[in-house]
Amino acid sequence: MNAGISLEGLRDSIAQLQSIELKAMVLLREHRSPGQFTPRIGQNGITRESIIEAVGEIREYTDTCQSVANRLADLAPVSIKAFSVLEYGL
Amino acid sequence: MIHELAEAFGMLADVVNSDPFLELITAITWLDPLWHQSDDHEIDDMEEMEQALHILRHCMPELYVDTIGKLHEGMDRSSLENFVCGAVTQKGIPLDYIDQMRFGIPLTPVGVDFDDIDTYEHHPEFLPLLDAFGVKLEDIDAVDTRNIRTRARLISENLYHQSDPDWKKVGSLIDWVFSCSGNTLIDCTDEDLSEMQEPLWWDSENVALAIEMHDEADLCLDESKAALAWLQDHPEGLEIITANLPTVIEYIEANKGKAQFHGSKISLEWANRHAGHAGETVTAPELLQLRGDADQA
Repeated sequence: MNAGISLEGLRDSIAQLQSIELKAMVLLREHRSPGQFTPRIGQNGITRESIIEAVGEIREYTDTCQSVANRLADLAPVSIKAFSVLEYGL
Repeated sequence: MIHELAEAFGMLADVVNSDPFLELITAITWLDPLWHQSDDHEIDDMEEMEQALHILRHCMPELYVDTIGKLHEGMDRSSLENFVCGAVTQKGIPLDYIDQMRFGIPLTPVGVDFDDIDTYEHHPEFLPLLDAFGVKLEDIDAVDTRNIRTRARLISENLYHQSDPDWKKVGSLIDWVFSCSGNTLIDCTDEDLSEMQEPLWWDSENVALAIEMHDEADLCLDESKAALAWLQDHPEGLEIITANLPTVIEYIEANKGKAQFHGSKISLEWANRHAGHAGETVTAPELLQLRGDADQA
């Protein structure tokens, strides 16, 4: 696979990725009391609609992650001939 | 000591939630504990409640969220099962216990076998209608079921296009008694349904279909009951059905071999009991063409 991108370019692209911000994280942050892991559903002013929306987004996100992981697992191995690893100098 | 433990717990919670990656994990496991299960996850080996949650997550996400909320509240197992059954039933799918979910979407058929003499032990109120279609109880075993059902379907389709609500309801009654509605739950008995090999499996489309079928079946039963009461008060209605039968039979004969024919195309007379004169009719171009002098008129 050669998409015309250098190793440095690939590294920079990955480094520029923004952290994911799911609606569930916002709900967690906004409604959690200090010293509490998670707020209680049905309390703290969290609406049912906002939770349904957040769960829908988690489903999409986790499905995407799962799909990407499956694709990565199916990638054919690539032989790297122009790269020497001195520790394994066989 | 307890105070120190509580303090340590609070500190740990704050540290976990200040890290974006751990916050993501906490948020996901908080609201969606079944996040790791894909749509086609094998559910046969799951525990009953896990199965129920898996199905709700994929087919009724709003109920999944409500159930997770109840879990967070610490609801006990038995109450949680009752909650799930109640919520799914309220949605339109009758669910008595959560273990039912493993066998597919529960369906409640209401159909009757009009050609089975035992039916009339439980439903003697159907007999006048049976008689109106020219079927005698003593001949029920020899009746041409398919033929009678075709006549019944054409009449009910015709009644569906009438504006009189009482006649429309009679159409629903005919659908129910002669199993000709096209809705599996209205047309099938428990026995018929259990003979079907594949259950309706849980997915969003099938859930919507099952809810629609149940709603339609409920409406059909309500209208049928109203129609039975109306026919009891207006027995002339049964005579009108009988009087329309020859036209229906003529239409069937004239259209034999055609792939499809429809009751709305037959010209039937439904007396308007309010106005005291003939009610609406629906034009039947096919029948008009049967007249030998039609092209000379």
